[in-house]
Amino acid sequence: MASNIQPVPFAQTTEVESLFREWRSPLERYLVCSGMARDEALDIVQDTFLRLHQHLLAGGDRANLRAWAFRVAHNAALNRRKSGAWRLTSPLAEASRTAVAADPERLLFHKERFRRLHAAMKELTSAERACVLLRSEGLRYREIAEALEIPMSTIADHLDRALRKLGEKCNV
Amino acid sequence: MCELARSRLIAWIDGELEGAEALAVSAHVESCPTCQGEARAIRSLSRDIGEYARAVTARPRPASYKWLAAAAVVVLSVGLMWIRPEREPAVSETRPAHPGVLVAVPLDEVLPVGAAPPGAMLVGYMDFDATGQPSSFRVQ
Repeated sequence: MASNIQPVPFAQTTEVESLFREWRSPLERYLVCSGMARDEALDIVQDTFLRLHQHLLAGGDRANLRAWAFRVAHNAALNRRKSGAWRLTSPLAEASRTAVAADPERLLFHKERFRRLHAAMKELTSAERACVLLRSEGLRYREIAEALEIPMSTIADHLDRALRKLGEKCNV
Repeated sequence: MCELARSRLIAWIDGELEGAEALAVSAHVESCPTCQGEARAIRSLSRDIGEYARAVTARPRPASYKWLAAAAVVVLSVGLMWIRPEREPAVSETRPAHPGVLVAVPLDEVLPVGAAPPGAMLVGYMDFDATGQPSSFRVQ
């Protein structure tokens, strides 16, 4: 009996594995800092890499794959929020369950700074917050624009407003 | 008040400006104490945001896992040494139809996060039966 299962090229699998190791944490951080519960963020990260695998297998565009991955994750998060499936949580509440155990002294030392930063983050518009978080993950402005599907010319202004608000609230 | 737009200063810090524009902003910042202070504040705030994001998603690494993993490896090694001589005749009777394949599995893929030292691998031979199905795994 003939099988319909096609072998997955080895190089394709190792490439996705390599990208997974590199981008898993940045994607998870972006989603959790946007207010998504950690388990849901991990679900979306898994889905993103499944789609990346399919995208590459189908011979999809390989240019700007990092921006592609963040766009998929960002849109998946938006869809969950629209459908009401997004269980909102506080990134600091997530931190209290994870980072406290990881490095309690460090978190305690930064607790007040983080609390102010967290409060200030909530005051940003969603586009400003997304720009700041993607920038902190090292994305170029071109990649941020592609991930959020907004004009590149607006990125610098979003960042300017966001950093100004954060700076004022955090008194840096 | 400085005439340099703050958004251009941020773009310069982020390495987003090129050529003459980058050079012009560099020259301005060198001679402008206000922009130097602003640039320091932006860099400091950017570091804080990065640390905040990393702290939020840091994974716990309880020390007990490490000891548990180390103990498990010791028990497994001693156990294998103890039982191997008794089992060898039985193994020779059912010698695999095909020679084993050397495989290496990263320990951090099979143990809880932090339980295995970075880069540690479980190395052994995977044997296959006549139908090509995996039949046994021998730790090397």
